[in-house]
Order: sequence, then structure tokens, then C-alpha cells
Amino acid sequence: MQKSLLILTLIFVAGLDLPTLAQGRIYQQSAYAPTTSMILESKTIYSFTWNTQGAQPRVIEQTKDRVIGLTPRQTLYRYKFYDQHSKIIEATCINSEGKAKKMEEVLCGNRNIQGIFYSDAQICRYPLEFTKAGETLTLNTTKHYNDVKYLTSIYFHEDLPISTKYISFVIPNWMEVELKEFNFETFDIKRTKEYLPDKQAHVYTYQINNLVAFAQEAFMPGSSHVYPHILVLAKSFVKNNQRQTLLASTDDLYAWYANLANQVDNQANNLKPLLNNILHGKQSDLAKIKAIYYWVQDNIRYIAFEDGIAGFKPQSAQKVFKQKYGDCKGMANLTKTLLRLAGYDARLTWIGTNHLAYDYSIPSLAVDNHMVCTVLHQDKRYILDATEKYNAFGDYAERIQGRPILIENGKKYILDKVPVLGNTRNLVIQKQLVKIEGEQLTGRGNLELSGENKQMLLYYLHKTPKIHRENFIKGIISSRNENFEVLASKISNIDNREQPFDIDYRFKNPAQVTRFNNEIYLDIDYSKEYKSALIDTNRLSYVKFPEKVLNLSSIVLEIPKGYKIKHLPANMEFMHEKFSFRIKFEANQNKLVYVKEIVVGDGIIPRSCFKQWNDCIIKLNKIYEDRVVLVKE
Amino acid sequence: MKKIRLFILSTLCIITYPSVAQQLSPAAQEVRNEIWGVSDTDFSATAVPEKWNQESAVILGRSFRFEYGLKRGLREIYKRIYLRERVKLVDKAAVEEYSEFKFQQIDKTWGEKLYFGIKVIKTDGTEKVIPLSESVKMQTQQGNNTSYYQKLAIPDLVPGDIIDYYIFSKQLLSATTTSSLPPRTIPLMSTYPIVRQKIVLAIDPYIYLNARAYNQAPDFLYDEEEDLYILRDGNREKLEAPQWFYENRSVPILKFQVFFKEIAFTGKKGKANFAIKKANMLKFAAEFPAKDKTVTSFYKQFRAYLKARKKHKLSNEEKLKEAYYFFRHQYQITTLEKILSLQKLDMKQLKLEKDFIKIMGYLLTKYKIDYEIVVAVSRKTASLDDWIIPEDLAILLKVNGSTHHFLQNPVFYDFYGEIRPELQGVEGYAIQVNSTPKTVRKIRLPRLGHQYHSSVTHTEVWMNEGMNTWKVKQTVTLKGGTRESYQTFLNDPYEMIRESTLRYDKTEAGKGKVNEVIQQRLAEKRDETFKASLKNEFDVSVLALKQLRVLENGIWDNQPTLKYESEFVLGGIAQKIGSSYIIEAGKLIGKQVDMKTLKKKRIFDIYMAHPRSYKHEITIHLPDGYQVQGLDKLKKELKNQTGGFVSNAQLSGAVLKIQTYKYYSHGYEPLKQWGKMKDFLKVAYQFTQQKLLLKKK
Repeated sequence: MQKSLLILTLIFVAGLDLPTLAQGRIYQQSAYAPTTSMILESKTIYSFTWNTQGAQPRVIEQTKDRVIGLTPRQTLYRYKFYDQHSKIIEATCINSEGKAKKMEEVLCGNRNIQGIFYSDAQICRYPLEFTKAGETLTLNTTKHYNDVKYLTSIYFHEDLPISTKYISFVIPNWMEVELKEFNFETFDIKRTKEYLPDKQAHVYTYQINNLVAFAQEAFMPGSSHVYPHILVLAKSFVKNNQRQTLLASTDDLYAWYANLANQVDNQANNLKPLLNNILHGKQSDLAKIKAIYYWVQDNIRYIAFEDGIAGFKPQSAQKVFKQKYGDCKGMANLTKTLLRLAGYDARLTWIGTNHLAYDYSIPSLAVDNHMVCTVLHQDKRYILDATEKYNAFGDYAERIQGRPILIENGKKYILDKVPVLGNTRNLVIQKQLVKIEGEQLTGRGNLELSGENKQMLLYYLHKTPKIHRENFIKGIISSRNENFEVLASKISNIDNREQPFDIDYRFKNPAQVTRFNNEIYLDIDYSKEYKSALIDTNRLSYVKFPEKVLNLSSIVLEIPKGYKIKHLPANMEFMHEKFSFRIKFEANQNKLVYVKEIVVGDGIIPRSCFKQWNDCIIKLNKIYEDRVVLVKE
Repeated sequence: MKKIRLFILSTLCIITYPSVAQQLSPAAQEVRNEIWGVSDTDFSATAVPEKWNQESAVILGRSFRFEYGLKRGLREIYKRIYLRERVKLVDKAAVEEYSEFKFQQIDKTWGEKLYFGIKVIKTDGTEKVIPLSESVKMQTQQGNNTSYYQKLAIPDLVPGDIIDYYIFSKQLLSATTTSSLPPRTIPLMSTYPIVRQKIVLAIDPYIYLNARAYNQAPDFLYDEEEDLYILRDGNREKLEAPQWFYENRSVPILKFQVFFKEIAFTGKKGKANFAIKKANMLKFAAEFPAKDKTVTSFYKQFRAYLKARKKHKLSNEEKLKEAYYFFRHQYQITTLEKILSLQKLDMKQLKLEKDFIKIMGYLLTKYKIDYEIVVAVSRKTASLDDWIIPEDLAILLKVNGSTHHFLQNPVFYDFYGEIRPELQGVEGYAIQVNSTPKTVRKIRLPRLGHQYHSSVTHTEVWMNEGMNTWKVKQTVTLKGGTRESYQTFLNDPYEMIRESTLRYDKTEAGKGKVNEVIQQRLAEKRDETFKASLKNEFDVSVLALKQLRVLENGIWDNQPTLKYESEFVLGGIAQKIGSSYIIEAGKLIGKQVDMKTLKKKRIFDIYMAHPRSYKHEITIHLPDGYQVQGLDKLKKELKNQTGGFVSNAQLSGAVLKIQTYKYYSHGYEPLKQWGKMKDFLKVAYQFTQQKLLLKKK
């Protein structure tokens, strides 16, 4: 299991686009470059063979990709990956006449992965040089997986469109392998099975035609939820009439994980002075647990390492403490060690974030990608993810909510799930009291953020140089609307993760008010959340927002003396089982009250609801474009 | 992550590399002792001056040292340089910034040596040297060559800590193949404020050094005892680059270059030369006029061309112009194809500026037209008096024929007689190369005003009934500096090659084969980019681009304007309110300098590319049955010394006409004029925010 924390990539994708500030979001299929080449035929064969040297099974992967260049004089780079457990043995390029063509400038080396400090993932780049349009070149490669448990998921899609793709598995009778299929439903994938008597092996072949290139779409769930793929579960083998298990069940997976975790030499006593310091003045058990959790969150920098076995084995607690940095395993292990030292029952806990579509019924290294710590206290389980900066005790980040967990428990593990929290966790409340002064709107406002939004905001706020924080907050309030001028602002709870993040402000905005003769045209809602949220119905994946959405806004306008309301935009109530938008204008004596409520209950818009969603957004935009018109009495 | 690549000049390829040393080699240790071992008062500070305690980080001390010399019987050049920086990390953002380092540590017995060292000084004064053995190696292999760098995560780093690091490089180069090293520029301002800094330059008696610190930078002092030059500086605010800013002109800066052989612009051997003077010009002028192989071969080809095209009877001045375009065709236009298809430029196919001067100088003499050679420096780089790096020069010819004009080595679409904007209005040295003795005088190159660098846009708009889509037809005419970027973007290079070939190839038939795939791809890309620019300009959705056509390409002196026509459909400029519509008419002049820029405090002078003007004539065909309110909001006027914005609007029947004129009087304004500039820029911005109301009659 390569433990990689996804928070960084997640935040990069989500950027500062808090749902409250969702202007300009376009949930479309990612733009792709015009096709200059495609794979006519791709064949990959995975053969399980016996490796006499290592005295264990291995997999030989042979690929044959016939690629056509659609424009002349182009170099197309093809990439192949390897690591400590696998090796590229051979790579050759064959021209259309069947002759070998030398590949100039083959580059191999460490792969830079965003958000990961160091990984043993290696990459080779093979140049296919096309001189003429319509020329075909075939790249043949052979790769060995010396330990079969590291061959996990196999996808059909590639970075190029594919006309026909075959994936075959040659599984000898002595090898027990399960091929688990994912996301096959919406794709036309043909399966065949044949027996090779001479090899005493079965060949399973999958065929798929006309695949578009792999694309990263906005608000897309992890690839394993969307793209068709096969998980290879190498369970056991029989050699010399002896059956040897590999990863046949969750028990085997746990045994391997636990074995690695037990090898960690935690010298807890070295941490005593630190612990005394952390617990100073803390009386209750929960206060103590909380203090330890927050200390690790605040003082250990997250740095991801994925280096061979170190990708699965935590660093010792004392090392992480000394370095003041670590990956999720190191942070979970330090949390556990401190808690145990303080007398609590804390356990390492394996988990796959919601990026992954798997659970612990599958014995594979692909099922998890993260580690947390669980405290068992007075018949309750508290899951502590110290990589989640500014996460309150008892709160759970969206990416781990509802996810299965594997808790260490001596020889046998405990299976459980992280609790699911509703959208009220992510409540965003915007309030404004406004009036018209001359040709501008002025007023006071308050913005309150909770849950995922608060956490993301605090993460970025603390990353922003102090000197730029005020501007950062202004940007949040104004939705980066350049005419919206924040005159003063005050923030609360910047260092209190247990309370909502709160901003009070005063503002003026000339762009919201236009006077024509004896009429005033007012654009009352400057933030216009979800204005550009039309979904491209051709996209491949459903839409998954970074969080479950619950946004409430209210704006109270003081109607200027001598004016009355001439026109109001329509009210709106769009109710759907997956989402709802409600907007209401209500005049009350000399006040106009505007209320807006946006709900996306589980943060997901399934493909089947795209049309209704778009209908709703079109309706919403009609209201956003309309104006409140006041006329002189 | 801090990327320590400052001194890496050589290729990253290394043949053998011993795994990261746990212990420093004696050579690396010696360097460490030299940099960290001796107490240096410039690196003793631990506290941040109060005025900077809200900054993210503060550079307490910074030191550069550059040493150059010759060795082994003058056969080898050695260079030995290092940077040391001591940074106080005030907040978490700074901790993040300095928590990971990328560096190279190369400790070989030959070639380049690179050393790196880093320590953390805690608030209680304890120092922790970070072992480099904790770093990870990122490696790339190509054939037998392996290149790599190292990444180091700094442990136990918190706000309040001080990072003290150095990078050191030592290299030996062959003196027979190296005549100079690339120039270096060191701005005295950085991402963070600087408390103290020093730059040391040490050369041995065989080296030539050109160095100058300018833009209010302190001067170098010569330390006789140590035989080195030292520049001491400090108390510098952090650098935040604003709009309209040339770092080379505004930021206190040091530039230097070392030479191992004398050239026209160097001073005394073994001594620093702090200014290039008239005397250097005379030395430089010795190269001209010249009749070398390049000149004679060009002349031969040109004569053949004149003969083949029956142009040998043209007047001398006409022939000169022919020679210019013949030169541009041979060495610039025909390279376009290669750039397009291969995405690389064959330097051999290009001619140097000097070659152009020699060739044209030869022809001018031949055609008995008086001329001078003019040496000037781009206004983006330095004033003439601050010019110290020889290669920054631009050479032009001042033709004193029946008309006076300048000639400059053409780049792609430059045309005869036009000086590129960055040289307009700058000072230069004019050298009479044909007189004996040669003479030098200072002149100012012509300055062209905002009327010359102009953009004129005619826009005609038709609205559909629901007013939600607008059909727009635009004709844009660009002249002078405003056309340059649009020219490379809009002109079909194959069309340019064809046009130039017809006129200036040896035979009309000439080359000019079109690669249709590339041509098609360029056209698609052009349309895509144009659409994106429309979206950006009008800040609304672009529903369709129906036409984009270049009417005049602006690559000839008798057709100096780039004129293009486009037709497109915009959505979302009008909003329906009951039975009325609000239209955002002001948006039709495109994006203006935004309020964020205008509100920002400015501390630097304003350097723009050139003076310029933008004229818009907009005609909107309104649907029948509506009356317009708010026309007065579109009438604005503000003019001052720095520029102005004037607009007007009239309604005639169902046709609304809007005119705007915005101009920037100069390409440069001193900081004190910023307020005046902001005045008219604000008016232009306000114009874009104006809306009209269409009310049912």
C-alpha cells in the first residue's frame, strides 16, 4: 500500500473555490488537445510464471501498442512506469515494415508526483518519431513484476484514444488469481476464456473498442469510481503440492500490514517530556486525547514519502517527532504512541479515502491509501487523522467519511467505518444588511464557514504570509469581485478549529446599483454562487463536489425613503432528491428581504440528474440577471 | 520549495556519481569552514527590524562572492563563486517556503564542484547543521548519462527560526575555448526585505571585468589590501513587481561580466571597468566598414536578384530598400517555416546584427549615401550611461540620404525605416565610420508619439430580438508598437512567405511549399486564441466566431498597418428586467486597467512599451420600440500631461453611436505622475461599468 495523502491534490483541484464563492465554476469535460495520434491496437498480456531465482511467482507484462501519427514530423512520447518491485526489461520500436527503429533520447528516472516529496516510482519516456502523417509505429515492451502483490489495478484507458484494446491474463493451473471487474457496466467489454493444454493455463481476454483518451474532468471522483478497470487479486499458488497463500483474504492483508507495523521500533519513553508538556493542565480524558491530536496536527509537517517498503511501514514515533515532519503513517504512529504513553488504547488504522472505490472485502494493496489512528475510549471509537490540519476532534473530513477502516487488534483486526456526517457540517451562512447610498450599495455583512469549507480556508489562511492575510480575507468576502470593496473586516476563530470561522465586514459596491431617471436598478446578490455551474452532459463522470453543500444567505435591504418597489425578480423553488435551490424575495414595510438556500445533500450530482441540474441553473441565472427595481413614489 | 540552481551553468549530466556522502569530503569541509567557520558581522544579526515584523520572512544577511582567474600557465580559467543567505522565518508561510530544498552536491576530482550547506538557528541561539545525508536523490538517465538533483526536507522548522545556507561552485574551464563568461545580474531587492548584503568581486591581473551598480545602488569600493571590489548595501524593502515595470530600470541592480580576452568595450586588464565610454566606441568602430565574406557573398546574391528581377536600374536609395527586404526575406521570413514545423530555430540560417550593419554599410558606401553607425541600448535594459554589458548593445544605421532614417537588423515582420519601440527615444552613440579620424557623438533616436502607436477599432453591433445575443462585426487597425504581437498571432506565416517570395526571392517561382497540416493547425489555434481573447476582453461568453480575416498584414513600409476584420456573436451583455433591458454598453471597449491595480500603492516609475492610443467607434443597432436612458453616463472626459480618456455617445433613431479615445502620452512616466495616470485610467474603467436602460416605448 502506497500511503499517499490526497489533501494537497484535492486542494489544488478545488483551489479556493469554496462553494460560497462558486462563481465561474464550469463543470465541463476537460478540454483536450486536438488528436495528433491514436492507438490503433493495444495488446497487453499478463503471464503468471514461476521465478526460480526468487522462488515465487512473478508476472511478465508484454505490451504491443500500434500507434498511428496523424500529423507529420511529430514526436510522440509514450510513458511506462516501474518501481522497486518491477522492472522494464525491454522496449523496442517497430516501423510499419516490421523493422526495428532506434529510439533516440529514451529518458528514465524518478517520477515527480505533485504533493509527494519522494517516491520510488520511476518512469521511462519512449519517443515515437513520425515523419509522415498516417505512419504507424509499434512500441513493444516487456516488464517484470517480481512480487505479484504489487500488480494491482489495470485500466483500459490511456492518454491517447484507442481503437481496439486487448488485455489478457495467462494464469497457470497452479496459480489462484481472481480478476475483479470495476465500472464495466457502461462500457462494451467482451470477455473470452480459453484453455492452453500445453501450458496448462487459462487465458482470460478482455476486448474493448473506441476508447477516448483518459481525461481529468472538473469535480471528478477518483478514477477507480469512473473508469473501467480490473483488480488483480493473486491469492495463492501451489508448488510441490504445497499451497501457499499470498493475499487470499483480508486476514492475509492485515497480517502483512501488522507485521510491518510491528517492526517499527517506537521508543516511547523518549517522548515523555513532550507528553508532559502537551498534557499540562489537561484534566479530563477527552481533553487529553484532544490535546495530543491537535499537537500532532499543528506541529508535524506533512511530507509524503513512498519509498519501497517504507511506503507501507510507518517511521518511528521518535523520528517523526525529531524531524517534525512525516507522512500519514508517521503521523498516525506518533499520535498512537503518544496516546498509548498517556494510557489510552490507541491503534493504527488503515483506510482508503473516498478517492478509492474499494473496501476491505478485497485483499489487495490497492484498497487503501492512507493511515489514521483510532482511540478506543469508554466503548467509543474516535478516529484521528492528524494530516487533516484544523480538523476538530470528533469531526471527520469528507474524504474519510463513511470509508471502511481496518483497525489493528493483535492477531485479528477490527473492521469498522468512519461515521458519515451530514451537510450541516459544511454549513455556510452569509448575512448582509444593506442600503443604497447615492450610486452604490453599502452595508455590513457576516460570513460563517464550517466543516470542510472552514478547514480549507484555515489551511490556506495559515499558508498565506501574514502581510497578505487581509487581502486574502477580502478576496473571500468579495468573491474576487473587483468592484466589491471591503472597507473593514474582522475575523474570529482563526486558531479555534472547534468553532465556525467567522468574518464580520463592512463594504461598498458601486456595481450593484444603477440609477436611471427616477428608478434604481439593484443587483442584490453579488456573489451569484453556482452561476456558471452548467454541467457538460457529455462528460464521463458524475459530479462530485469537494463537500456536501448547505449554503444559506440572507440580504436585508433598507428601501430608501421616498422609494417603493416596482419590480422584483421571480422567487424560485427547485426541489430534487439530490439537490435543491430556493430563492425568495419578500417586501416588509421599508425592508426587502432576500433569502437563498442551496443544498446538495451528499455533494453528488449523478449523471442521470444532469439535465434537471442544468434546468435549475438556467432558472437560477434568470434570477441572477434580473434586478430589483425601485421607483420614486 | 527553494530551488538552488543559481550557479548551475554547466549541463546537469554527470558520468559517475558516488552515492550521497555521509561525511563531507575534505574539499567540501574546507568550503564549509571558509563560509561558516569565520565570524562575519554581516551574519551575526538574529532579530528582525521592527518595521518588518509583519513580513513573512526577512533576509538578515546575504553575501555573494565571485572570484575569477587564470591558472596553469594561463591555460585554465577558474571560477569560484558562492552565495550565502541568512533568513529569519517569521510566519508559517515562510516555514513552508523554506522547508524543502532542491540542490546539487557534486564532489568530483575534475570539472565542476558544487557544494551546499544548511543550518537552522533556533530562537535560543542553538545551531543545528542539517546533514545532507538525509536528502533523497532524484535521478534521470539517458543512455550512459545520469543527471540528478537532491531534495532535502528541513527537520524541526518553526516560525522564529533562522535558516543559514550557502551554495558554492568551483569550476575550471579551458582558456583556449572560453573568451568570456555569461553576464550576471544581481538585483539588490528580493522576495523578502534585506537587512544587509554584500557582493564581492575578485579578479586576478589577467582578467577583464566590466561591472556597474546602478538605479541608486551604492558603488563598489576597492579594497587594496585584499585586492577586491566590494559593494555593501542594506535596508531594502521586498520587491513586488507592479504593472508597467522594467526591473532593470527601477530596481537597484548590479551587472557584471568577466572577459579573458580584450574586446572594444573592456577596460584595463586586472582592473574593473565601471563604464563604457566614447573611447570604447572608437575601438568598436575599428571593425567598420568591413568587406568580409558575408558581405561579398550577400552582395553577389543581391546583384543576381536585381538582375533577374530587372531592378538593376532602380535609384540607389530604392536599391537600398530592395537590399533590406531581400535580406529580411533570406534570413528571417524563410525561417518562419522551420520555426513552425520543427518548433526550433536554426541559428545558422540567421544573420547577426553586425552582419546586417556590415552588409548595409557596404551598400551605402557603394551607393554613395552618407551614413553613421549608431550604438544604443534598449530602454528595457539600461540608459546609455548605465550600459555595462557589451552584448546588450543594439547597432543601427543612420542613413543620411535625401531623407534621414534609421535601419535596424530586421526581425520577422519589421519593415524598412522603422525603429523597434524599445529603441525609440533612447540615447545612442553615432559614429562616423567613413571619416578619418572616426568621430563619435551622442544623439537621441526619434521618438514617435501616441498618434503613431495606435489602435483604431470600428465595432458594429446588431442585437437579436430577445437581446440575449449580439452579432458583432469589428475592424481593427493597428500601427507601430501596438501591431507587433497581433502580427505574429494573426498573420498566416505561409501567406507571408508566399508574399515575400513573390517579391524577394531570386525567382518568383521560388520555394514556398505549404505544409497544409501545419497551416490548418495554426489557423485552428488562431481562432481558438482569438475566441479566448474576445472572452477576456468583453468578459461575456463568446457564442461563435464567424470570421477572422487579415485585410492588411503591416509588414511593408508602404503598408505599415495591420488591419483585420472579425465577426462574432456575444451572449450575456443585456439583462432582462421586466419588459426593459439593461445593457452593459461600456464593456464594448474591452477590458481596462482594473481597480485592483489602480488602488495598489506604487513605488516605482512607470515604464511602458511606448506611447499609444486606442480609438473606438461603436455603432449599436437597437431593436425598434425602445427608448434609451443613461446616455449621459457614457460621456466622459479627462485629459492631462500623461494621457487622457474622452468619450461621447449619440442616439439617432434606433442607432446608438459611441466614440472613445484613450491615449498614453509617453512610454515612461516618473512615479510622481502616477496620480495623474490613475485619474484618466479610472475614468476609462468607470466607462466600462456604465449601463444603459432600454425601455419599451
